[in-house]
Amino acid sequence: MFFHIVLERNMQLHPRHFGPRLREKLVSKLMKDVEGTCSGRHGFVVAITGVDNIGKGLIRDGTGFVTFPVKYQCVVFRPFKGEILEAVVTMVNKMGFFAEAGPVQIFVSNHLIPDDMEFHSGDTPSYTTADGAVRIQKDSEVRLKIIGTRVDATEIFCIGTIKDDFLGVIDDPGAAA
Amino acid sequence: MIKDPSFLLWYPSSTRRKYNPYRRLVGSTTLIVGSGFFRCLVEPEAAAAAPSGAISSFCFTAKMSGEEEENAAELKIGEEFLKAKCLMNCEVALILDRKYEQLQQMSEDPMNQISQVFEKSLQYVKRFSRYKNPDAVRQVREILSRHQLAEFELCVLGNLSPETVEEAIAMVPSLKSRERFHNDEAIETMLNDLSLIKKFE
Repeated sequence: MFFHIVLERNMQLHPRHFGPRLREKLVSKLMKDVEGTCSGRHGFVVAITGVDNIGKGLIRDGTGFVTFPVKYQCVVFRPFKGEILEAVVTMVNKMGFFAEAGPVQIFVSNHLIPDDMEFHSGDTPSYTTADGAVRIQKDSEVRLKIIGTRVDATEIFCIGTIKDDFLGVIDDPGAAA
Repeated sequence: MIKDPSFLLWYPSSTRRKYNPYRRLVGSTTLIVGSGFFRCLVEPEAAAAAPSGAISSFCFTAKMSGEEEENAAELKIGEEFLKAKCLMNCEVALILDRKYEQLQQMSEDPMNQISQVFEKSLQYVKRFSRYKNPDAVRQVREILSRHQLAEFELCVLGNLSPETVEEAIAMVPSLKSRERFHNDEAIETMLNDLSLIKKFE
């Protein structure tokens, strides 16, 4: 799920940037430093949408760098256990399939795919029902439930399932409309 | 409260040979359970009662704090995110689109400035936003917010736009657990309103 939250960060700035454009410099440095990062607590920082407040700077002893506490608003993506979301299938193999929901990777093991779907290798590997009506292959859209998350230093991995009511391949949105 | 003898504890190795290592854990402690990290508050009596010999497993009571034991189905997503403003995919698409335009104006080579996370998120929300028109997006939020939903529930419903009451409850089990919807009709009206917006968009 995407959230809009306020975060705080201490920014260190070199004295050569002090001047009328100090604020601009701080903001652009903040974007460069923070956007695209990931933490276990807040998830992926997708985009900074505004800077609320820049506090008083504090000169560091010895270096001359100044630390500014900066409060900023940003859009983050944070997956939760138990959350249901839609994702795009990126890879299918006999172990299961990988899907992507925004920046996050989700693996669905073949134990968590309904039993009536079987793996078919070939040019485009897929999971297909016996009658061929339902098919999961690369670029399919699936609705899945996250049942576990693993937090890395720079990434979050999720384990998902489609073995539940109302989960699985999403009907072609064009046909539904 | 958790009472589980299988908890594996982590603490600095320097404390390992002290008399009762668990005494050191009173207060806030990081636990490693399976593959997850948890912040834990250990109560003094629990630490005192812990056997000094056992290191990897023992029984204690601790108060969970913050985001551990998270389960979105029961709306356990941590205080911070529960209070935070949730965004539906269609709203994120509007925000990121505008930001992308701004970046394009500022520099000739926007792709250079854009992180992979941004790019992937933009692609994702564009693919999965049900409502493209900003007015429709506003209406969806308005309709859903009439129903005393938590932010998180609101966005799940907005993103997945379930068609039946059964489906809505399967997507957001917490709808049933709290006594906001006395009957299924209220949910049905809400879902109908949503599908109307989609139709007339």
